Amino acid sequence: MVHLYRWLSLLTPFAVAVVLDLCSAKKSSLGPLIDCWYVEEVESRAGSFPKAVSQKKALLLLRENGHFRRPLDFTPPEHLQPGMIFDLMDPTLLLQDPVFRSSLRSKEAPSCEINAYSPQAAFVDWALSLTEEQRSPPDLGGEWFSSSIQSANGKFSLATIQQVVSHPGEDGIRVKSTVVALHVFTHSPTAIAQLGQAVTLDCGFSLAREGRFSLEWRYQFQGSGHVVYAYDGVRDRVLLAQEGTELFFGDLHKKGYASLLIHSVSIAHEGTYLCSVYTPYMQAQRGVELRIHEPPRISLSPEPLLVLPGQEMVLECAVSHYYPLELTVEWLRRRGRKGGATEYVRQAWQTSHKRNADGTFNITSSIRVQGSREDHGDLYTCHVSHASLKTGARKSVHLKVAGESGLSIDNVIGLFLTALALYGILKFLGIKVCPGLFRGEEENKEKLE
Amino acid sequence: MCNRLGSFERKSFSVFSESGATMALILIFLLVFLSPTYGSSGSHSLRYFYTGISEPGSGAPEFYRIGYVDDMPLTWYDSGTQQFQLLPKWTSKLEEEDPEYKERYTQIVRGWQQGFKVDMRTLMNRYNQSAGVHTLQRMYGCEKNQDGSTWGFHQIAYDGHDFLSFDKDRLTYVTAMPGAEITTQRWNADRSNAERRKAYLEQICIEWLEKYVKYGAKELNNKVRPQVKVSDRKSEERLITLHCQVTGFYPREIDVKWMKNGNIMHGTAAKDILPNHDGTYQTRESVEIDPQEEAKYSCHVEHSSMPESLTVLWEPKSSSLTAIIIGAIAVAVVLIAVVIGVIIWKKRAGKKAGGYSAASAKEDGSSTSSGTSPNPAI
Repeated sequence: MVHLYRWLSLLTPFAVAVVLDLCSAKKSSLGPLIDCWYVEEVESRAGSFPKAVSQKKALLLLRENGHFRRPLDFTPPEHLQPGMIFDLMDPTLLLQDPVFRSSLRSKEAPSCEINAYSPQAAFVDWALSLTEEQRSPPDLGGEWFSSSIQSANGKFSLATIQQVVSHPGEDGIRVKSTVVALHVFTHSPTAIAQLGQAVTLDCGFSLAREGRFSLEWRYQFQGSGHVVYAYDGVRDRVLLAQEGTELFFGDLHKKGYASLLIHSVSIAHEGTYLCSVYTPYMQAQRGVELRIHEPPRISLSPEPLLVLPGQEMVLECAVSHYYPLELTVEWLRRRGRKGGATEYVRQAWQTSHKRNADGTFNITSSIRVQGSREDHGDLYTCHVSHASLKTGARKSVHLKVAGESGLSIDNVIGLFLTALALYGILKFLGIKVCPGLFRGEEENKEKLE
Repeated sequence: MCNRLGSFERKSFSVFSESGATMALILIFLLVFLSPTYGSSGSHSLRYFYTGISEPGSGAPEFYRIGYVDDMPLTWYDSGTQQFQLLPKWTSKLEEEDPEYKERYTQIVRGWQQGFKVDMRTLMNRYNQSAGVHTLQRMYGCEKNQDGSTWGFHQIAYDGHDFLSFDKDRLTYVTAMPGAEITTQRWNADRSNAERRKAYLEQICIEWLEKYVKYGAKELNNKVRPQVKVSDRKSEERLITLHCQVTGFYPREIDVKWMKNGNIMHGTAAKDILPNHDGTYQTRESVEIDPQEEAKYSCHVEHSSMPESLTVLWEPKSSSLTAIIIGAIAVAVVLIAVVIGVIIWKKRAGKKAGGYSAASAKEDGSSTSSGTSPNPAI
């Protein structure tokens, strides 16, 4: 990479001149153009918010590297102010990555923002060794920008730091030519996990100029934050590692694979994880939001639902151990045995969400069920909608009204179980103790016939 | 300190109501209870919470600021009155000592109010929001522990998301919100700003805290003993949930646990410590038990107001219904035994009396049927 960049930066002026002459009539392959906002803070200083924020429309050209610095073979939109077209040369070739390219091809345009960037040394312990040798690096001068691109399909999020190599007007080119210095990206800006599962928070980086880097994973959520993992890549030292987390060091150095593994997810892990990559005087980060979706367990009681004619019973649907809190319980009632009309049961009431020790929630929804004979066989369904369930989950029970056909035997068994048991005992004892007793009866019957 | 920074302790609350007045309260509630919780007795904290609302609803001021010393409200300012107030009575000593204090702070916080208004507009513009309800919050504070160690924080949130957080020990501003990177970059570029902020949290804030703690020593070190109530409730499948309800205590820190034969049990519900209307707190610890199991269950409460831990034993009371059922079963068993006894006795007596005859069999048959008559269904 280093060689490629040096080579290009030395040769491009000549190369471009040659290419211009040869190909000016030819239509060059354009590569993706991304509509961006160029955002600047107005009158800002450290410790206070800016007076205002200015936003200008901009265009980012992700042309094939061979087309970098070539003249535009299209007319840029008129609303673009001068200097708002950024040509991006990517010696890391990340932007040629098919996953990135296909994520840009979704129907909705990606969101993109470009900001001015000023290289600065970082003061976190794990980044100190990056800058302690070089006192005043000569190649940090000039203009720098950072770009942030998020694909609409949520499959890609990228932060790029780029250096301006030539301005509009120079070489007769109307764009700001920039070269990538550092990319930090994630393929899953949102990760979803269940409790107890292992989850990998995706993060990667590519460096254009040299191999020195440090890595930091930081947790931030609802006003509290801390460093989860801190790795000094120059000294190859882990300065901080939260228990139950892991980095993949082999691929970290070889491929820029900076993903963080959390071994067993608990509710407390929910939040935003910031993957920050430090290179000398540069820093870029991407956030990965970890959400926890724990599906609810559902149980109906009483089950079976046996109601005496004319009586009323409360049917409860206990929904437990779900996360997050947002959840809806609906009751459905299907009339008759099968093929009957299904309707919502409106008069349901529910408890508040009770929080369990593990941070999950429980709720119970209840309805009243009347034991009228014509409702026998109705199907009651408790339907639960929750973020963890694609189509919801349900539990059903048939209403059984005591004394109705097909059920009288059940009822008798249920209600007169003791009586039957007693009969059994007596019969058993009777046969054994007095065999003549029932024989006598049989004889009686014969006589009667 | 390291433990706190490294720990995952966090509380989450749900918010349903959106009406103005309750929103203001909820925001304070969220700020206070989502902010890091404070250590054991002997440590003290000073914390400030600022809230700005872009479109204030009924009752909710556009801007308000509340200060706490420990868990006690110390100062209040809102855009309605535009007056800085010192809340506890003991602060009068402070005013006597420094008569300009109130007026000075009224001016300072009015400046904050204006700043919040401008910042809110900037942020709405930043996120392309032309209207709607948006919130900007800021909280900062410091803590001094018994061992003399100190701790501090400073955070800004926009629409409930972490916009900027200050990592004091690393002199770094952090953002978890897209679009705030340019702000953190600028703030981090000027190290002297981070150093000033750190100095405020480690020195000025601590000096003020010590001052407040000195003036309010009596009230801040006031301790209120908890009341403890143990109750049970039937839960699913023959299990019982035991609740240990603890209320009316101050300060907030408390340890409540259930023990089974002297061993600590795992609670089934989350351990939330909630505020009462009078400044005291309440909490509840729940466990699930099998009443069939022979064991001694007791609730143990440890609180700085009591020299020793308080133990309340749970005594299983057999309910009246259970007693009736047990009684009924006992009666039935006796009855069956008597009936069986009678049959056996009668049969044996009959055998001794002589051989079988149609007539005697008929007689016996009828007597037996009368003997089993308690069950006519047969």
